[in-house]
Amino acid sequence: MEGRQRRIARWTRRVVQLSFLGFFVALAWAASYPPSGAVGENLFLRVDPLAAFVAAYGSSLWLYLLPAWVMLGLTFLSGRFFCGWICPLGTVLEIIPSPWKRRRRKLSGLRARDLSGRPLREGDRRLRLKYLFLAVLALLFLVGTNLFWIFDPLVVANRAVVFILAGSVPLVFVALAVLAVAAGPRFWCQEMCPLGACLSLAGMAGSRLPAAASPLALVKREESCIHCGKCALACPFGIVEVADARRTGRLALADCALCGECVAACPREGALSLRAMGAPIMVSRGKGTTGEAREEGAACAV
Amino acid sequence: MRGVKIARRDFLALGLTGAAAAFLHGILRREASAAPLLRPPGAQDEEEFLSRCLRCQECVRACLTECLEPAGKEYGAAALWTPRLNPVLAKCEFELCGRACARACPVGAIRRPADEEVRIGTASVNRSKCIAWNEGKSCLVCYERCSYQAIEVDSRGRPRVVAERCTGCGACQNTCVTCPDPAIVVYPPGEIPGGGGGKGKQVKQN
Repeated sequence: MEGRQRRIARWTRRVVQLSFLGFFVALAWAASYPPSGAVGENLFLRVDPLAAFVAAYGSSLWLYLLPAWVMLGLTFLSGRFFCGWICPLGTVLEIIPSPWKRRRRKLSGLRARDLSGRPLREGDRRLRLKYLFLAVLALLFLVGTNLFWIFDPLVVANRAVVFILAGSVPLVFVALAVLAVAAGPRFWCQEMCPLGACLSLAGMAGSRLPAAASPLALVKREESCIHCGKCALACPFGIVEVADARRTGRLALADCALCGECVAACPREGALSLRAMGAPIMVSRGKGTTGEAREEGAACAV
Repeated sequence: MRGVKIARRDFLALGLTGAAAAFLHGILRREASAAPLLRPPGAQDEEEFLSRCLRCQECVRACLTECLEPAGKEYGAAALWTPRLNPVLAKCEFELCGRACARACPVGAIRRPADEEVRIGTASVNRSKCIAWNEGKSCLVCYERCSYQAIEVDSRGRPRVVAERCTGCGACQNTCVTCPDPAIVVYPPGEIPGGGGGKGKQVKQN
């Protein structure tokens, strides 16, 4: 029973991802003349806070950029859900077959060794490089050199669709795909992506909010946790803090994309769960015992 | 001890990123003045345009006549994949399309000035290529195609561009019979048409 529930939940995310990817491609397809006038075929680019920054700097397009503000608001409440559930580039990078899985196990195995150590509490420092990258890009933009066109994931994805439709090669996209194969599916998202950095910052601004106020939150019950570190090992985003014993309640981790892989990997009933406005939508199940995860999840929904 | 090590590594990363950024900035700045190219109608002035444009290709996709294409590397790294209006592909129908490119632009790099204010560029006749000027043949194709009466023909059928009326829509270049090397070419605003016997017209419209 619970096993099935878990599987459906993981599968659900992939379906959501592919749906948004399809929507994204459809919008790029529909962007040819005439414009529909309804949603605006450039919706994804207007949802992008970096594009909004480029558009709004020294102009009066604030209202036109409403989607970007909504996006930032939702990220403030939930964290980087966009990266795990919506981003078309992230979806493609995640789907590309990569020999990385084996390597990840080894890499994270090293991390898991000091489950109570300092790195665990502070997280992987390499993940902070993207903030530096974002700061440099923003600075360059302010002095008049716009490099967001190379590094903004939604721009890269949009251009990739248009170029492929036109029969030419989307070079930046191919480079990122190669990077995904060489360094891991989510290497780009976690260590470089400037949009990811921007959303991480927005998510951190709202990290004190309780799970009940968050449309999507990762919640940990410390008393059920056995500190096995499987969550940290399973995380496609390389987050180790999820296994930190000092963290409990809503885990508003800067880099967490709310993908739920840790929840699926957790061997303890109800120790980890994904919640929408406090209500559990995905709860970790015990390996030996079944059937109680849902009730337990409901019990700690408060 | 460990903290010092990590701090040094961060410092190194900062230095490297900064150096790479300065390098890229330098390259793009130097190449910003490469070959001139026509922009979509209502595009902001070149420097502002380059600093806004995300090269997302929404305008290229949205164009009614498909006269836009992503600029290739021959226009310099700074302009790579920015929208280039190429009259050889089609003329720009900015009065018919409802400014599809400007509507599609997510960052406002393309604006929507009134139709009368649109100046994509100015056409100029290269007399050494034009068969009316060069071979004395009666052609008149550009004259007939122009929607703005911006081409005047003298008694011997030789075309001249009236810069004040020309919007730079590219109909003349698109239709010129000396294609693929048109004798009448649209130049971006402010670019003085070079080559041939065509004395540079005054091109300083806004």
